[in-house]
Amino acid sequence: MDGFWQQLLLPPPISGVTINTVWISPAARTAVYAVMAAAFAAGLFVFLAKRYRLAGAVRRGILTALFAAGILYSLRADFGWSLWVRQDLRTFGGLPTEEKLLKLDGALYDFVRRARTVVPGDYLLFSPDQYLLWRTEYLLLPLRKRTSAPTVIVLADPQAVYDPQKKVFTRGDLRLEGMAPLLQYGPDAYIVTRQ
Amino acid sequence: MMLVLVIAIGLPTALGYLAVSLLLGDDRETGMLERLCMAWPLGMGLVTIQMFLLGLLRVPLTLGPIAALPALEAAGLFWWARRRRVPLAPGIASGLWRDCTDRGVPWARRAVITLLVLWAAVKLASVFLETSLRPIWAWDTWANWSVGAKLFYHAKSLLLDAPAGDFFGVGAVSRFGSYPLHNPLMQVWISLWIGSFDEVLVKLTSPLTLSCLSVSLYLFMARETGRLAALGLLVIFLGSPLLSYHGTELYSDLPLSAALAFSLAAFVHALRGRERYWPVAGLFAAIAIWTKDESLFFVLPLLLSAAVHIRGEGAGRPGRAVRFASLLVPFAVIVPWYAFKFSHTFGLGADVVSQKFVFHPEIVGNVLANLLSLDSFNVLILFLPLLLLAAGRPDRPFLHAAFPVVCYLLFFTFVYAFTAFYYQHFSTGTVFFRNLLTAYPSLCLLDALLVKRVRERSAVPAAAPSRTSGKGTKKKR
Repeated sequence: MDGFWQQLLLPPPISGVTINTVWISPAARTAVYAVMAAAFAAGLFVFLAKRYRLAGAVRRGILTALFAAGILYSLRADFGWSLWVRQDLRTFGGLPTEEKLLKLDGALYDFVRRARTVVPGDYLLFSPDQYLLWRTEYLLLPLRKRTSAPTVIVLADPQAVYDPQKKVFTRGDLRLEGMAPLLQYGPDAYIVTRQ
Repeated sequence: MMLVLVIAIGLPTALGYLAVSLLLGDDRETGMLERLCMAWPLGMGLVTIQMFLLGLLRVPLTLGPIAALPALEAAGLFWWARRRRVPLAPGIASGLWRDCTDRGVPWARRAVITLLVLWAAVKLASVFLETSLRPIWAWDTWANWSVGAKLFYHAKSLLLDAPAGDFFGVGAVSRFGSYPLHNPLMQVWISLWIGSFDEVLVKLTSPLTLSCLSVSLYLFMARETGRLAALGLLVIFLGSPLLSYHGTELYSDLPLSAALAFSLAAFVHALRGRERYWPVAGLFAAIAIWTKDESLFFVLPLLLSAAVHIRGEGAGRPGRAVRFASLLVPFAVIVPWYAFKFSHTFGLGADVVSQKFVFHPEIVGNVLANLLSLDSFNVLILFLPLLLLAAGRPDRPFLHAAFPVVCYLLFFTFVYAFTAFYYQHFSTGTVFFRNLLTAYPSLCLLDALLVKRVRERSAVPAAAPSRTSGKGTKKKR
């Protein structure tokens, strides 16, 4: 199947981390406009043949175009929608919520699950990536971020340095001494806490 | 768990149903199904407003006090309705069952109606299914709305024992303190009933709102255009992918779009002389404001339109002042929120919105290009101007109903063109379609009004051919 027909008949499932827009392919757009024009012309012709006045036939043609193009659009959109539902049914179907979150966030959620078991209370979180920062903050609730917290969580932050020999954590102007490792998840994902 | 969820949904629905029934009194035209559709969004709005008030009074947000209040109110309203002999169970028949099964109905019509009913039902069921599959994943849901809900739920309070800048947990997580609390408190309500903040179950409110909106929209359209055309319009309405997408998540755009559409539908009924609908329109408008700040730019024009309409009408019974007051009084429910918000220097909208002004008139072209792209929405928006042209000179109720919708859309176009913040977000594609979604059901409602008028204006063929003469002679209508 070439590009046009593939775009038209096999829409990809919807995806994304946010839901601001659902794009439709140029092929689908073309098809909807083509059906709209054809339905209008057909409606006009049929209603003129039924001896409607021109204005009346135009009005009926517009209604015909609305319903024909709308139903075609719905057919295609709902087909794309069903692909998404089927895909999610395979991915998430039958799982408890915790496992669904693990599927969704992968290593990040695994890290958060482990962090929850070791972080004693409030924490300080460093990550240059806004998504990682906010998402971790959200997933860690009811544990809360606080500037004076004794525990530091680091996620992929090149500015943060922890020296296990000297037990010192530094990040920019911040220097915390007497920090012991609490969890080492990976080279750039770890938790340290004041001894 | 299932029973608990039924109660969590049933209690606000009962409260909303009784409130609607009392407001509508002996209105026999509004059936049970239509009242039920209004009941959930209305009842939930009333419950979250009370949760806010209890939170202000430092009453712990635990199930006991939070659930007791609406339960008592529902009992009180029930007693009052019985005492006033208000009909609580008007007919539920929508005529669809007869259309699908009656052998007197032509088979083609029966088949098409059955197909469309199944299509809409399967679509709505699939939205419920998808909601039950995915945990909260969309950025704005967890970053703005659910983060607050989770905080309130675990803290059992609105976190007001802090400096004003840190109210509502702003100091603990990165969230906007000025956003209305309807959405997070809905999630707290569900969580309190199920006993935990479940990332899947808290989302159940969204498909429910979409279902109530869809059925209600169908019932409204069926009155205007007939059942077959209304079902077609419903399938087209539900075929908008952004709408289905939002039906599975917890953004505030869908609840806002529902509240605005319910308010507009009630406003149309009131404009047509069904006086009992004035307070219903007011209540839904108040709930819209309690859902998102931008609704003010819909609600204020609606009030202006109502004032002009009422002023233009003869002094009948009830009087002009009574009519307008019955529209205004429901806004009292959101006065505490705004009084609190402004007394603590919280502004309107997101805290990050900058006040820097720009001028980008090219935005108008970009808006049109976006509309013509058919991205996110089915063709209903595109056809609105065509239907308007085809319908000819609109009647006064239509103009009054269209006024708030047009003002609302112009407001968005204005902020895209004149503010640096929204211009930037418009350019990156993050705001346009979402904002349009909030007006989408209202636009569909206007579509239905126009479809009716277009059909009426083109209902009769110019002339029937004369059987005696053998050649058709056109008669002038």
